Amino acid sequence: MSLTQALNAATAGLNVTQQALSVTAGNVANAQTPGYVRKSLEQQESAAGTSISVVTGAITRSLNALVQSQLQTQTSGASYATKLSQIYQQLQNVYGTPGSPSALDTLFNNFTSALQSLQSNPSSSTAQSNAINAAQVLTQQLNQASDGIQTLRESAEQGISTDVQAANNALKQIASINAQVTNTSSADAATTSLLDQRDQDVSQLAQLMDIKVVQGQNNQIYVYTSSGTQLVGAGQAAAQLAFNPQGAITASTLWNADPTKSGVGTITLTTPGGTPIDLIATGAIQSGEIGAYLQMRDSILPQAQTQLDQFAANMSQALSDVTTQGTAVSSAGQNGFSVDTAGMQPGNALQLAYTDSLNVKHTVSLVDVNNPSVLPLPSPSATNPNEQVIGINFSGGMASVVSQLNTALASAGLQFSNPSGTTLQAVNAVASTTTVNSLSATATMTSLTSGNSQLPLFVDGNAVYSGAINPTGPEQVGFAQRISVNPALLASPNGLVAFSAGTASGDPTRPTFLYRQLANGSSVFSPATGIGGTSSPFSGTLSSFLGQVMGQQGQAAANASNLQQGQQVVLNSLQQRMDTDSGVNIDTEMTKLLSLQNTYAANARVFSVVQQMYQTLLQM
Amino acid sequence: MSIQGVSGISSSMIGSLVDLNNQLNDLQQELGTGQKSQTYAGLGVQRGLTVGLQSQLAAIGGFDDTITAVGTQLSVAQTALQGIATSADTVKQSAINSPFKIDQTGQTTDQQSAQGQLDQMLGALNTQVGNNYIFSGMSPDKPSVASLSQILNGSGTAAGFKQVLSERQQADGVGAQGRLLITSPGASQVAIAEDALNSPFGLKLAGVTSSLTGGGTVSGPSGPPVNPNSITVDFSGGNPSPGDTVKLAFNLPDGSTQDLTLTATSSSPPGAGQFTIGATTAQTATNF
Repeated sequence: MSLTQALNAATAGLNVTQQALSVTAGNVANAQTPGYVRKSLEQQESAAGTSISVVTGAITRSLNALVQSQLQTQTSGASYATKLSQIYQQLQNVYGTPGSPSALDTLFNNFTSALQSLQSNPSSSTAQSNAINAAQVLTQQLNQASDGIQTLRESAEQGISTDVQAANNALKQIASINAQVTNTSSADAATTSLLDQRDQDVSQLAQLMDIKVVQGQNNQIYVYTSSGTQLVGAGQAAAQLAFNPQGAITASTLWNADPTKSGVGTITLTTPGGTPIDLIATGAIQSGEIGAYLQMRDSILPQAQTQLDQFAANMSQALSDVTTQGTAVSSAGQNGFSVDTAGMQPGNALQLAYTDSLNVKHTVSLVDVNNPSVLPLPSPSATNPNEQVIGINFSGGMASVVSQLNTALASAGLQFSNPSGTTLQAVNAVASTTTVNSLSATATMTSLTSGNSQLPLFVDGNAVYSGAINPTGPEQVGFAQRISVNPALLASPNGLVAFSAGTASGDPTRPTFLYRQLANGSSVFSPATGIGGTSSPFSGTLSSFLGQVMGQQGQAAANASNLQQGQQVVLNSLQQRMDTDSGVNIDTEMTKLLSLQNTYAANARVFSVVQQMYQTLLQM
Repeated sequence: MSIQGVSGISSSMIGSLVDLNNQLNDLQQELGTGQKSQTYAGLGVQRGLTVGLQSQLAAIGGFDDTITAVGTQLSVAQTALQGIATSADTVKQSAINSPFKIDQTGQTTDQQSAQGQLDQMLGALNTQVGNNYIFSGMSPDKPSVASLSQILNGSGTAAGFKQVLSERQQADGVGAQGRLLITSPGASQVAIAEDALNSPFGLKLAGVTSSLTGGGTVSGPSGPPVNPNSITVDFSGGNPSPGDTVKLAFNLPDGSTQDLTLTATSSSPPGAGQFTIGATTAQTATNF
């Protein structure tokens, strides 16, 4: 009967309207829910014989996939920039407020000024202890700054550890939702909210690391690292990240691709297939919060530490190292120089310059090494790319030194010998046209009263700092963390003036030397500090180096802050776009509500019309 | 008007509000502290320059302090040196016109006042600034000079000036001829020699010249490094004429020099600074 058909159609219409109402109500209710994507109910006509009716279709999400994928990429970038800028700001605190009494450069200037006033009044014990105090405060600040840097590295390590757990959770969640949505054939309300949930997880993962998301069949998504390693696939368990955090982080604990040499944790990805991949070694994580942590922990903060170490090392050696020029020797056509190597400490070097038979000039640094396991040393030198470095083991006596040198440099047409005592002589070999241009020896003073103006004012723990190369690494690494004032000077500040047993109490020789070295002494700083290029390392006074360090770090922090602001603007505008496209617009929903209300009334009207028609029919 | 969720436009508005607030905080801090920024990052591109300027400021401040300290020392030193000059003048002026009259202390008034002035000079030389003796050179922790009593009378095993003076007088005065030995190597010759090689005591022969006519010669001083200095006056060539002179020059232990001129005369006995020409050259030598 056709009336019944109309009734059925009206019933179906009411049904569909009710469901559409519930979807709209859901939209309005979730207008403020983060990550909520506006839903809409599709409706289709259905026909059976002559009757036409309506059925509900799938619930669809109004998602702009293009904006979403852009947003994911930018999320990684923004959280990377934010984290980087945060840590840079903390690093700035390490250097102190500019011009304040705690700033590193102020403390260095105080030390220099204290030596300056000692120079004009050497016998004053007040001036002596003032200089010692200023040196102590400076070393303490260097120690604290290094501790600060290492604490930042430690917190980066912990941050990675936390983030890796969060990433694992997100990965698991994504994989589990992938599995759930593949079973539901039709898109119902539950499925769409699962998809919303999954998008949230992906966006959370994107904050932690840079990922690529590829949309697959059956609502599946595939997640890859930016280098292309799969993290989540279809119908598989998620790959899991593992991180082995190291508790104690010092200047010498650095990341290394070789797990046995690495002092800090590394991130390993274990795929469902079981192959572990080192994500740091493969450079898979470049962005996101983890990317920022990694860059800080492994490159920016170690460089900041190297800068402080280099400053501490150059300051210490400027005051303690004596360079002796060799005396010319000549016999039977063999010309060269001889120099006394007595007093050389591990790390001290002989500087040899010669011109070979092809008229090419060479500089060789012969470094005193007392542990043969570190040989051969890396060459050319880090501070001077034109300088060849040869490590010589001095512990076996002069005969062994001479034989090592003759082996290493025989091809250069040089001949070494030991004429007497600890003297080393370098001459051109018989019938060689090589010319020895100079030979000098540098020795670090170990005594306060050596008769030289130089003194070990700063020490490394209990030992004199001479830049030794140890099996655990160069002594310079982390020196800023360990530098302290020589305890012998703390006991008798008079040592700042008395350079030998009989020095007059008012002799300004040593204070003058110390002041000149600190204020005007120029030294070369390794390019590993990030200041100066590899082909022309930075050379200047300690104060100018400090200025460069402050300038470079300040600039980097300002850049990071600018990058963060820029990224935030991009992210905000994308987010806004995303909200416009996929968010809930209350106006639209209200309009829809009105139209639904009318549709409902119209369908109800059909009921009452059918009712009236039945009545008419029955009363006939 | 459309109503938007918090996550829409309003979230970026919240962001800008927070930014504005942060900016306001920064500016307030700048106003309060008078410093542009609390970190090097906030100082702008010239942040490296501030480090260099700070170091120059510190160096200039150091120079300033040093100049002040040295200025004090210089003004004190000037006062002390003026005092020394005044003392010396006082002694010189009073010495010119005062009678030699020894009072009951065994000294003249001048001697007593000179001693007082010397004491004052020594005090001036021991002037201190802070704990430093400014005239002590490299050892400002030690007094520049000893006390008057120590200098004059000595202390402990160290002999005083009075003792040294008297011992020196004794040492220089051996033989009443200033440690010179006068011999006659030949009949008509007179040799004057120091008593020991490089001895610090006695008169030192510096030279000899003569205007002897009649054949007399003088030679020396000679001797070192083997023998002590000596000079020889040889009359064997012939007797001098009256009025001829032999001039001996001596270095005295105090560093001054003195000449002694002996004039030949025919009168006997000779006057002061003269010698009688004898009948023979040998006799002249003896008289000389």
